[in-house]
Amino acid sequence: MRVPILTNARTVVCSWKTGEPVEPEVRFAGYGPDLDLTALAQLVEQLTALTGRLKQDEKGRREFDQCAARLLGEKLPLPPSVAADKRFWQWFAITQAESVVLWRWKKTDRAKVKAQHWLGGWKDTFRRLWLRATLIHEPTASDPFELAGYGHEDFWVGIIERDIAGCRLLVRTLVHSFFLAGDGAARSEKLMLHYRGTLKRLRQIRPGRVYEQMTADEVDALVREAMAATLPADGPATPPARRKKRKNAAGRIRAGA
Amino acid sequence: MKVYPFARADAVVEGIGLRLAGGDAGWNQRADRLDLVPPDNGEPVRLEVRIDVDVPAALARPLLPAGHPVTLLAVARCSDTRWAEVIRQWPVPTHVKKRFTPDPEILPVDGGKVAGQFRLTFCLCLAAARDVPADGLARKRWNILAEKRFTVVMTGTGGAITEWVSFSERGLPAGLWHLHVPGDDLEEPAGNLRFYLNRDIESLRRLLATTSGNLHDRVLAHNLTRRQIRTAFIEGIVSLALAMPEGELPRDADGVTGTCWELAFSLCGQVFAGEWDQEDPVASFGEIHRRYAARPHVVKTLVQQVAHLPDVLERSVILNPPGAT
Repeated sequence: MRVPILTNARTVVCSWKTGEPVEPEVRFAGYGPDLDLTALAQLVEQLTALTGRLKQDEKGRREFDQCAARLLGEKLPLPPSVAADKRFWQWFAITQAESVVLWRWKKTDRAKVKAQHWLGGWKDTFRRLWLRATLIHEPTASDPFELAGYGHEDFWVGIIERDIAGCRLLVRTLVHSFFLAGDGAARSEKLMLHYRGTLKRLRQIRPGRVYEQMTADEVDALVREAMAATLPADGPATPPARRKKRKNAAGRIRAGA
Repeated sequence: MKVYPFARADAVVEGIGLRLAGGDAGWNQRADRLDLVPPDNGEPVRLEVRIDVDVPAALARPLLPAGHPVTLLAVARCSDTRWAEVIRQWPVPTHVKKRFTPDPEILPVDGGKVAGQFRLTFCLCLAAARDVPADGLARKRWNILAEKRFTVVMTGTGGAITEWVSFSERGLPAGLWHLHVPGDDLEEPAGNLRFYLNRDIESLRRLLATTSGNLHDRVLAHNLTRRQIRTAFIEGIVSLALAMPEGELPRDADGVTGTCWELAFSLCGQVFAGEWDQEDPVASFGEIHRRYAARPHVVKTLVQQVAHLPDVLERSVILNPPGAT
């Protein structure tokens, strides 16, 4: 698929801070049929409509992520190799959906939105949501993108920014267990500790086991086992301890226990 | 041999070899990184694998009881696209103490699922759970007993970028190799870059045809020539970049993605490692250009160092016996 890309996104984003904005330079990359830009314009309209309908508070923005992920999954059928091109997402965020980016990060000036939300990496405003939808996509289900509508941003960061995201069946099982079946810790602040612990445990087991080859039943048993092993104890939830910074012999500050 | 959380021994699958399908490279089980030109038309990436599992070693160590079902899996994983899949599996017979060495076969990887680079891991796994108490051996289904990893880089910095052509037919001077950059323009897509080897020279073809030579001097000549080709390639790209007028240098790092400039930056990052800032390749290159554009003799030596040209001689016992200096 041929898609539009930006060739100078970093310069453009940096220029916003200087007060002398640089014009984005666009060209097409890839092969095969062009991306349907009409459908894409409709997608931007729907995303914009979402921002008009939802409140700009924490709950509203979480709901935006859930709805926008589904929309992106349904309306933007990109091959994975194309979607891995940061320059496409840069083009999308900077030239097509700037107002949506501003709304999502609760800013009125584009220079105040962190560069990482424009530049197509794992923290990009739209790429992370598109990935979220793609990872849980079940082509045979009545609603193939249903699971994208569940989970907090914190949960999805733990998936999308780790290699474990490649194990689609595992991701679907995790979303189902924590957010649909309600198998996780009952209290919401404990739930965060619980899924963080479970994800960590699954990452620890992974070097010794091929998750990609496991059947649905095997993955289900694995997730249940990991959840049981990491269920937080009763009592008040305490946030994870922050790493102390200490100086080494050379006088440089480094992270340490 | 690893013993935690259960016994593993990667040496059992060390003999597995991987190469590009249709290429002229020999089998080299020590090569764990392949460079290829990214497919630009949606075609699959075609690799060829030669499986070699040392079953007697697995049983002797022991990693598993004799006769227990074991499967070798080929797992492809791409972190840029967040794609992972088992693309091929081989049931490995363990009831006899005999190496498992089926015929080499082609492994196609969907070009639309991978970007940048991906990893191909061969995992020897338990195909059935062992219902026994913990005894230091793997027990769960798909526990990994041994694995070997290969990285497939799709930037076109070597490997498949080389092409055997007749220099006489193309009107090229009768040298050994030639770096072909279309129009001598680094703005061209990296996929168009080629490193030609002269097909007309029979001795060069024979020399590079296989890595299986058992004479030390033959092995040395083979390795040295291959390394020199690599050196010439890096030097060609870096020199071309340094020869560009200052006004024609790229102004934005994102703008060079997919072009020969991206490759040039990547190679400069290796050649001038101490003077290179990965966060700001454009500024780094500007500085390198200012310092080295008029000093090609220094660049040549730096490239020889980066391409590990001296290491080839170091490993030779024929030309460089211990104490000979």
